[in-house]
Amino acid sequence: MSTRILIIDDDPVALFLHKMVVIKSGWDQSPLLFQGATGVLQHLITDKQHAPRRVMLLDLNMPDVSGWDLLAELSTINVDDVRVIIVSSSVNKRDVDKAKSYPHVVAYVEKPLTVDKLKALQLTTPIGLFLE
Amino acid sequence: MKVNMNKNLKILILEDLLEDVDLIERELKRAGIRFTSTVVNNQQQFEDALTAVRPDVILSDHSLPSFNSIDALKIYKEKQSQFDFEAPFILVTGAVSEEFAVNCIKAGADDYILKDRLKRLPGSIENALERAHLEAERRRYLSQVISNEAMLRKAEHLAGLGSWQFDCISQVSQWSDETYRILGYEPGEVPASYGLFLDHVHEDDRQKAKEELDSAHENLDEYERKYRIRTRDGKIKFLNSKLLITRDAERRLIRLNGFLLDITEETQYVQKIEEKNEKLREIAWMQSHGVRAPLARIMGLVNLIQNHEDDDTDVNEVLSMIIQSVEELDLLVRAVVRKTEELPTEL
Repeated sequence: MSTRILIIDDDPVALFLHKMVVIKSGWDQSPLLFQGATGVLQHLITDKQHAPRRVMLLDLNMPDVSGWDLLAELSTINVDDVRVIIVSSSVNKRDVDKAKSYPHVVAYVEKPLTVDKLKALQLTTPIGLFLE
Repeated sequence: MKVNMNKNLKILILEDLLEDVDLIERELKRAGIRFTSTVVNNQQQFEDALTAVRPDVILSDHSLPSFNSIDALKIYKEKQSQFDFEAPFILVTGAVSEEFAVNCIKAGADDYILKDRLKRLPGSIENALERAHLEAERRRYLSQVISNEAMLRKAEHLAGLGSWQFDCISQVSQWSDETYRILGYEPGEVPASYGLFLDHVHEDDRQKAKEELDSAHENLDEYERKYRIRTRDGKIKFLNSKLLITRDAERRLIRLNGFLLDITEETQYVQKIEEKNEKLREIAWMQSHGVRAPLARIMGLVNLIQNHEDDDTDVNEVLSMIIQSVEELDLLVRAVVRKTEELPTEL
């Protein structure tokens, strides 16, 4: 599979958990982990040739650079091979609606992330085609 | 209102010559005046009659054997202020000097009539009654105004409402007592001025208040805003200020009338409620974001163990992560409880 999964979360336990879920669901055997959103944008720009398609599992509430900040920056650069799945503990409808208004965001998943949830996304959103 | 001359007048005549009394009464009857007369000829009788009769008119001869009109006038004035009645005092005398007549008027007599010109008497009485009537009306009106004004002052004080006025033509300012008090002065302690008032507006609000006021002077007829002031002793108060602007036909400024309502208490009350709401919002955030984060983590970790096959999942490591998250969750729940306890129970 030529799709790389990027897991972005400030919580190391969440990074561990999401990595396990991603591996178990067969999305990526070696996803890239980022503790916090700093440096993610730079990676997207410079590491293009290794994996043409990237999917980010992005947390929203993070210190320093938040998920919101990264979404805003993402709109300013030309990356059409990137999709974003928000993975947040917020169950606030305002957050859900706001996140879905960004063009790269294909889904909003409330934590906890599970294998079942990723498999459901594969069936119900364009992410399934993107992963093949 | 015209004086009712059909009413029966009580006339007190101070005269020692009965022929002259006759002449006076005849003249009054001829003019159609209805009256009852009381005739006295010494000081004691005069004093008694004043209080007993309470005359509508006093006619006094100038010189009597033991008494004269100047003394009678004095006694009358004393009784008048004592008993609150109003009766014109008219001198009816033989020939007198002009100087004497002027002195009598100055002393408070309403008119003087020479005995050989008694025809003038009825008209003189009528005029004097009319004047007395108007004077009584004026006094009543004045006391009404004074009592209204006193009420207004009291109302201003109770409501914490001050008013001020600036005459744009004479450039003179006036402050009500309550305006002085709101600014921290005793009423009348300093000369009122527009500049001094602006000096008391809180330094952070002053420039804006001044600009808005200036622009209101140009464009508006009415203007309302809230701002803070600093009283003379440095206390900060919140005011709701209303301005009425009076202009002439060419829209030139004539007068500014301002009303200041001290809303410090209400404002502080609202601030306290807002502070409380802010704390409640924090608590709500802690519940929705803070508490949910470790909870979601636990759910995810548990799910991982449930679905673990013979893969490389280190169950012990996951369990220790669960325990760590449970402890974090416990701390957060305690923090929420503590924050809730910090909320003021009453305002």
